[in-house]
Amino acid sequence: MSIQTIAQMLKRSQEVPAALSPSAVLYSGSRGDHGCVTLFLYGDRRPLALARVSRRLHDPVLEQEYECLRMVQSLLAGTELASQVEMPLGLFPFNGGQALVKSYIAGTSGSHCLRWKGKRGAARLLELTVSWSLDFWRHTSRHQVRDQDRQLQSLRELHLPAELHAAGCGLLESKSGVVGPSHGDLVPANVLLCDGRIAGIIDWENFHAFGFPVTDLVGVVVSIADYLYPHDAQFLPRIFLGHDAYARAVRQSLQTLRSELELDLADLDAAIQLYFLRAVSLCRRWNMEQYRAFHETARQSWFSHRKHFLSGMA
Amino acid sequence: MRLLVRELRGMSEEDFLESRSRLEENYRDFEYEYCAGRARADWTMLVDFAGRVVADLGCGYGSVSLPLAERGAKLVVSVDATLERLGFLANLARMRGIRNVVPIHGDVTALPLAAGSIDLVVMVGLLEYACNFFPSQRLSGHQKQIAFLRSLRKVLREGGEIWVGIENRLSPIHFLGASYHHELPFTPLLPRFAANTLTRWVRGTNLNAYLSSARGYRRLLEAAGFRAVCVHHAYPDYKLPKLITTRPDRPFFATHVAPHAGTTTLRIAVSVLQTLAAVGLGGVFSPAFFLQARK
Repeated sequence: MSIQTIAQMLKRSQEVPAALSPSAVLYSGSRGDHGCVTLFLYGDRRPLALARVSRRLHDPVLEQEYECLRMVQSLLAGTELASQVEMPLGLFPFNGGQALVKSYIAGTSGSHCLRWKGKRGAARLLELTVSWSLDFWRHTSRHQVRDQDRQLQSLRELHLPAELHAAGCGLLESKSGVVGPSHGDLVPANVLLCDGRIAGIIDWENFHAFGFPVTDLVGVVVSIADYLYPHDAQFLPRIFLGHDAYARAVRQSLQTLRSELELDLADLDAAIQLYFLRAVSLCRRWNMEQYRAFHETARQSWFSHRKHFLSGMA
Repeated sequence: MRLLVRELRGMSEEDFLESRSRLEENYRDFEYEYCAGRARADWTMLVDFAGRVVADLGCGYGSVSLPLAERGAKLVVSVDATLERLGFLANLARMRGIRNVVPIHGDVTALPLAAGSIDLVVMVGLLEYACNFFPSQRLSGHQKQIAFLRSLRKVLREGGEIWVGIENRLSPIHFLGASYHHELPFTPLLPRFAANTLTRWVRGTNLNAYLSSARGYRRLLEAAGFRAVCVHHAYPDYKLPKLITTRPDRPFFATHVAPHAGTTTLRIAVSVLQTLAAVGLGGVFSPAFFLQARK
């Protein structure tokens, strides 16, 4: 099935608001063989839907994302957050594999805003993302569980190497071990902004119904800094002990999270460690050796100086 | 490359992926993403190739041939003049369990293919060099390109398609004095006669690659008897394009290009492109094209 046929099928099914034109824009994503190609489907001279195609033929990632999006939509049904998550329109056979077609959300990626607006932009992005994540936490809180077996199961699903898995098990005692709906990859590139507000949160392929939501929330401060200091794996002192706009926003956000989620410093410590474990595991899965080394160094840096960093937050 | 091919014999795909960094260090010619990465075939997502017989001319390491064969082309005939590259392709096909690819070591101007036997011809980075083909014939470079395209038209069945990946003569890098094919600075922008004269004077040889604008390629394909020519604009190049569109208009630049412009220079460049797009000239200076045409 070609992209033209998919466009015609969608047009017939009337699941998209306006007539789709068969003309498409192809965007070639990163991550090498593990990445995806995106085809934007146009109608009225603007993108209305997008089709994601995996580069590898037998890649379960699209089916997984389709299921995740359906789950997220059902979790958020009736809330204002539902419109900020892509609507899955179908899985279609496409060029020997499958294409996941979903609705298009207009907006600029948070990572691009960082490049334009530097630390002040990063501070604003952090504020918006934390606020969105807290809303998501509240709307999905009834699905959260604090069961030890479920926590261990969730940790196993991260597919960590043995030594990191052992480190992860030690972290589950704290509140950071709460399992529940979690985006799983809440980085600036997956936050879409429009007119200074969050337009959408994308890339739900790492969503877990029983993931670590506190890690998502606390990890945002580090994931934005990853983009802000892409060549400096020793960036943690800058964000936890610094005095610039972003460091101030980090302190403010962590205060908000601590009061909203009733976290103590040990919980923050555990959440950040889990964030690094997950980042290392994702980079390993996608064969991104450079980023894996970056996160490994940052993890070591946190481990060595965390008392110092946490005292700055106290 | 010969030693690399020898080392790949008997290796499984898992072993190959695991020893990727070591191979990249040991063999200067080998870079995984360029030689074996699937991303180079992303543009083929625009092509309807399932169940078709495809000829990939100048296939190189098979970075387009193998994904096409893997994804449901009936048969892929991969032609290249370098034996080692075909050896690499054959080994990678074995590792990935691909059986519907036939590597052919030979000359693309003398294809051992019956007339009307191919559904789809793809060639990436080859047409520009066709000005050097048919050395025994007294034809201009432009005429040689047309003759080559005509020879391909013959092997295509009625209604068959050709897809060509090639640079734009009016690519912005040519205005900065750089070049894709080691031409003398600014020569791609000169009229062919002047470019050839200058190159002969400086280097003693003719221009080694003939590039055209979108309009020039359209005329070239039509002169060879192809119809329904469609130009797809590729950014930043055709080797690893990030974006491909048939309509490089203002909304396209605003939606897909402007957000990626991270530096002041790029932002200025995108503003210029948006201004050009507003007057219908958005695609004139695209860096590269994928040309699609029917027999």
